[in-house]
Amino acid sequence: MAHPGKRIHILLVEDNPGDIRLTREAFSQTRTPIDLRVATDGVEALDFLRGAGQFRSAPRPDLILLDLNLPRKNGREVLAEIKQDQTLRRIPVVVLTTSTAEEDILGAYDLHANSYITKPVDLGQFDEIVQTIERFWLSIARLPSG
Amino acid sequence: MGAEEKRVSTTPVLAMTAAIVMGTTLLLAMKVTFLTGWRGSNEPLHAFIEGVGAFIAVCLASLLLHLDSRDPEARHNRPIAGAFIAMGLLDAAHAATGVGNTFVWFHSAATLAGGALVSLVWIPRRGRKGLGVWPIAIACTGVVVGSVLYGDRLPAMVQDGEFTTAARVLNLGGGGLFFAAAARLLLDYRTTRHHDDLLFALLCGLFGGAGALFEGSQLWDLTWWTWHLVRLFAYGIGLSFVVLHVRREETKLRRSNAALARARRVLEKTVTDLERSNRELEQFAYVASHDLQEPLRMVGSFTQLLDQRYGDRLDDDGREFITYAVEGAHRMQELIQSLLHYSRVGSRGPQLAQTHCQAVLDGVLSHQRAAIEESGATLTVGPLPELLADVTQLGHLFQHLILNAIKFRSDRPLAIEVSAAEEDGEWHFAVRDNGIGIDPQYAERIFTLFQRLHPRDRYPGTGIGLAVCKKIVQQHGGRIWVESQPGHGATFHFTLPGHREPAADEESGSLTLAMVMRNGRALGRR
Repeated sequence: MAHPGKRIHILLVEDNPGDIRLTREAFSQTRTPIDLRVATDGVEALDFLRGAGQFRSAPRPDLILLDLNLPRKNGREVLAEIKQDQTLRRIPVVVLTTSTAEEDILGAYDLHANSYITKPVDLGQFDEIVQTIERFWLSIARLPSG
Repeated sequence: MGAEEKRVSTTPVLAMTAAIVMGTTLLLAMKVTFLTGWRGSNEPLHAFIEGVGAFIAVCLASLLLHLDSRDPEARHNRPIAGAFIAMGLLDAAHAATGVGNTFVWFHSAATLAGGALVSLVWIPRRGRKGLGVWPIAIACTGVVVGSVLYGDRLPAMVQDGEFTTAARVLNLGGGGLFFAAAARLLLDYRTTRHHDDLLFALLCGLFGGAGALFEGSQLWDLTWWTWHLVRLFAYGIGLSFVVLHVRREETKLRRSNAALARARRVLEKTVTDLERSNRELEQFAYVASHDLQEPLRMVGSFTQLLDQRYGDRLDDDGREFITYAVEGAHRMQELIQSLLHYSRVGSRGPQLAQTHCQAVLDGVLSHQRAAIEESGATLTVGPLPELLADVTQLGHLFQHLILNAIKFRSDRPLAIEVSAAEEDGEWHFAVRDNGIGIDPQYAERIFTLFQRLHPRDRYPGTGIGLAVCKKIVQQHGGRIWVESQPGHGATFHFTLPGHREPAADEESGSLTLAMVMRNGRALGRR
């Protein structure tokens, strides 16, 4: 459970710098203090999560925002690996991606994504989505501790 | 099959002719030299020979008549058939009669009748149009019956063991006429090189020869048997015509079957190529649209961020410019989404299942309840059938049409009517509204991708709804069209086939030969 005042760690897995910047901007307006870490490809994301190499002291994220289109390991593979890992699979993964294709949505849920959100063109809608993520996952939903 | 097959070398025919002539000459020589007095009396053998000949004659006549209408190159079938009918009937009577006057009479009459009828080949086709075979058959039967009943009134054919003048005139006359016909057929052969002409020329020549041989013959002597053999040979040639014909037909059939099989292979290959091309196109459309969205989002979102962060530092013009930029980005995203949606319609072919159209429509109506209530529309739904269709696609189809009716409503209270009727094995659906209507000159255009009839600020939408509807309907093998007048609402009609064999490859739902044909038919009609 997210303690009020306690820092929330979110891992954003996204390769597009523009999207990274937009997401940062949107999260900068949330009430809860959020420490947003970024991994720009799938391999980096998994290293971060496992605390490998340079990420030895990286905090374990409370929430993962995952884009599906990534270089090297793509988002689907990352999702699969996370959800198959005993220690990692408890972390909620919200797929945040451009695709509206039915097969992508089904595929994500088949791999046990916790939810699937399509990035909108409109900035206002994007801000609202981020605020809703904050409200739901960080205030309403209970997260596993540790 | 080309006429080349009919232009066969004359060698076999010439060889046969030579053999027959030599054989006949040999027999005549034997008769003249040491077998002058030989008589071979054998009624059963004679009856058998004549019977076989008569039977072949009638078969040949039937075949010739059957071919007469079907073979454009057959010019003389009717006279020859007529001659064979007459000879067949009269010679059958001859075979069945005991030796005597009537016996000779029947054969002489057969020769004369045959010769007379076959020499009609000299008359141009136009002139003998009315040649009916049934009258000939009836007349000959009449002659046979009459000759049997009034046998004593017949002219004398035999006197003192010799044939009379009457008999000789009949046979020689008939023979001469046969020769005349043979001459005509030979002349024709020289121009047409038609194998059949040569064959029948030989046939007539042989009958002519037999008629001539009658002259020096006496009952049962060698010459008498010789001309019987000659005639049997002639009938044998007639039989060979039948055999040749059958072989020709078989070859024709084999060739057209092979051509059909080839055409089918080509068609199947084309279908495979088309399927592959379709898949590639759809993949291309999907990937292109998908990858186009990301930079679009960058443009739209950061322009808006600019507005948010620095808008107050811009003047009115600056903010207006940003508005246009952002709107452009939004519109482009809508277009890409529409394009993606369109390209995805049936990218894997319709997944057919027994579908309750009523249930599908109910689903759409409840899904769009808000829009329907907001428009205040009254819906009338007639009984809808159960048929083979893709449930999802059918839902989209109904949805687009209903939403269009709502979108393009007039000031009148909106009334929408959905009905279906069975026509010629198809189900004919109609979605009627009392909205603003459509000018008939645009009736075809509105089904084109991105075609709109109204400015964007009046009615929203990208203009793919009807294009998607058309694609869905065509995928099912149906047609879609609209009937409307401006100000008088519109009725959208579409058809779905009622009964259908499931596509051979249901799992992948890929385009099959049957569907290509159906779509081709659907496209052709509209």
